Amino acid sequence: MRSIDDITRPKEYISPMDKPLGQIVRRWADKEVIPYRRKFDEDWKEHQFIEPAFHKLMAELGLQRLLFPEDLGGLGLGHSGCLGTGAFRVFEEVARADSGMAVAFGVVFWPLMMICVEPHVNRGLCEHFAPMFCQSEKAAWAANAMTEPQGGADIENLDLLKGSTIQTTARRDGDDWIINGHKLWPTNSGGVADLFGVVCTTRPGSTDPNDFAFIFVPADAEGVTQGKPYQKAGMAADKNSDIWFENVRVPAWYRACGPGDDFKYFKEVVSLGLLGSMSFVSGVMMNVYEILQSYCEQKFFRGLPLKENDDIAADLADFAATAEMIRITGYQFARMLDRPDLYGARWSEEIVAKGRAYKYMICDKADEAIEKAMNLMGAHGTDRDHDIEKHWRDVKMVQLWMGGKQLCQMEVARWFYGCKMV
Amino acid sequence: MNFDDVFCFDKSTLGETDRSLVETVSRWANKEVIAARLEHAGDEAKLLTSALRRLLVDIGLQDLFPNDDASDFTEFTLASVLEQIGRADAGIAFLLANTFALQRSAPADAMPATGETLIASLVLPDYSDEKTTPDFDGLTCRVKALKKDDSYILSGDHVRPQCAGADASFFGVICVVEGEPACFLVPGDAKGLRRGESFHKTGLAASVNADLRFDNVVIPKGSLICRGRESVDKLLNDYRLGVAATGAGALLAVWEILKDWAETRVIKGKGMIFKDNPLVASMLGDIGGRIAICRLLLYDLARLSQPGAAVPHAFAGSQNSQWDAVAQPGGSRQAAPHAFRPGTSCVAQPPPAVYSAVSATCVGLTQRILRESVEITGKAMELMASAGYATEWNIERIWRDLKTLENSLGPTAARAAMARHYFGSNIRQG
Repeated sequence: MRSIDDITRPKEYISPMDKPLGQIVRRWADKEVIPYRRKFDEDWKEHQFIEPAFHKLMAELGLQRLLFPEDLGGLGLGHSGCLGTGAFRVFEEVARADSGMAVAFGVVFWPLMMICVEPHVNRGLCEHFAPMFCQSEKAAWAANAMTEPQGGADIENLDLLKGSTIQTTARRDGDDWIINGHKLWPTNSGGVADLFGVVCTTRPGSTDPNDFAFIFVPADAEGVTQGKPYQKAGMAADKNSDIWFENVRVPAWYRACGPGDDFKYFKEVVSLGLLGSMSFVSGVMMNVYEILQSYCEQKFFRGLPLKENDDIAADLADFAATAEMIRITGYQFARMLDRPDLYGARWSEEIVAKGRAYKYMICDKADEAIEKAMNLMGAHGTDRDHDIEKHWRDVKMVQLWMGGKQLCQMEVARWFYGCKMV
Repeated sequence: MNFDDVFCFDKSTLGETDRSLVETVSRWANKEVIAARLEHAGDEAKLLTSALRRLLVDIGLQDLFPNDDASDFTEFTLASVLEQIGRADAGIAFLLANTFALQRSAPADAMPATGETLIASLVLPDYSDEKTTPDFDGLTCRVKALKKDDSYILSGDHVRPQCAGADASFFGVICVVEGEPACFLVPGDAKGLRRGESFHKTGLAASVNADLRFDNVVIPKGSLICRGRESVDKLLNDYRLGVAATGAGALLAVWEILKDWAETRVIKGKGMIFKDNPLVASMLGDIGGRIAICRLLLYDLARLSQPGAAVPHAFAGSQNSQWDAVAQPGGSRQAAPHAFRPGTSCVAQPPPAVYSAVSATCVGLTQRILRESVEITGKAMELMASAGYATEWNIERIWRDLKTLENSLGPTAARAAMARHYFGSNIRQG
């Protein structure tokens, strides 16, 4: 009998951390999440069932230490040379169980990568924040505060708008930054995060990269207010809310990389966000494959298992082909991030554009494939009992976030066709 | 909003009374559901219960579609009313698609309104089963009917109704009686009818569904409300029309939500109104055009479902009697014992061959409208990015509802049914 491990990934790319980390997360997923995920799906507001599972993954198993250097108690992924492929495997395994949990878990590392990943390690901030994640016995959470009410994903549209639409301001006052603004949607907001990475401008309306600032703000800093979590189509483990920063004062050295470099390396945040999105979808496809395998063997039609019907078999084949394409493409992008010497810097326009291309194509194909998988199951396709519908809702969200398909298309068009205005 | 000014259809299909009714239902949709949903976010179950009662009992919709040839209301009325209800909430419209279809087939006094909301649900045959021989249309009935004296005994377990398994007042159970399809009207409180635990599903929150068990339920013979291919097809086509109207109506809500978004969203920090961006406009154009086509298809379906459609000359090109034997494996070709529609013979003789063409087309149109509805709503969500999946904007609810609706009809079974009709496929495995 075939298994999810028969869905191909280029074996020559696999990181040395792949096997141990993959096994740890799969065991955790099988034991702590998959049996309970329907209950998790209803737990979007309180997280009373979700939190203990996260606690095991992040604190007890220690995966919240993933990115930090070993000498600070971390697992050293940030300078391992296999950031992309290592992260892909871990996120994929979490997403196989619950892609909402994968998002919440993955986003912990999103702001931290600005300071933990070579070649732009900010050793001072690493040392400062490492205890929060590497010495804590509780799950520790970080969040990227990017999106704003007035323009949605405009902030991620760096090459066109260059940060000119950012309304959240950072004003220098002696040795401090004073931050004011209103953010929407950050994963791990709604009272979850301990630490925010906040996208700000030091000069509203400016297109000068030096005025783009990425500044860390502890969630308990005076003047930080988080709203109630939004209710969404899925991904209950991913809490999102409004955040208001009102005259929030943080030390000047909480700025991640400094003038010019914050702008430059924030594009890497986009690349890693795209990688994460692909890994979540790949994990979902693996689990839907498992569900289909089981359903079409156990359900009979006219005396034979459903999978023995040529019509059904063709749809099953389409699903497997899509899962193969998605996993191979995702790992290819992960490898591109791991080999800047071959493919260019992770923050380059080329990498961002190609990541956007893969992400939107993967999401479109997965959305279509999972819908067809649901159709195979007729009325049972929309039963919570089979979990496919959960994956369908979650993948739609992956498709829509980070500016949705249109922003992806524009970035791809800019790079491949030299468009200037789109 | 007058949708007819935007998405046209043949207005001559609706009379003055129809228009007045549609206007009433449209006001109900705006006030009792759409506005109330904005005001009372989070209390969806209460909102739906209250809105349903207001519509069925206070406005009186539950008495509107009896099996009465003298009724002023037609298939077009049914389509346009359910379209407006679907705009408000696809779950409520789906409940009523079931209820109205049964009311139009049952004797006028068989489903008495008691001052409470009256909800009925169909129990349809399944696609997948361990049996090697299907009952009809390639499908298997989970409920078996056995005639005993002046009664029938119904039995079957793991029976999933289309909706409202937890609280329906009546079930219309499709079975096979003496080799031909039939429908029994079973009261929800019938002895031996057991309801399982309600289960969670993707959407259609107004329908609290649960599996049923028929433990030797004894039903008087008068509860056999349809018998024979033609009358069961009529019942199912009314149901399909209601489901299609639900989908097309939900698309009107999608259009309203997307229009609001596209007119108020500013992108690229340069005062660019979202709808004026060339890419966005292109997608909006596609979405608008597809919604318009769905609406036209709905009213085509209504026309096809009305009694005159079965007259051979109305669809002269669609005769296909050569496939009838294949379409009804093991089934009798006798007509219904009681005439269902005016002008249909009660005499035992083969039903008009053309009727199966009408039914196949109804299946096809309904499936097409639902497929389009899911796709269009997905595209609209894509234009709204994160707001597309936020409950606050309501479009994700519609998307979940429509997908649940599509799956409830069984897309795979529908394809097989159409293959049988259009190409004479005698589908078997191996």
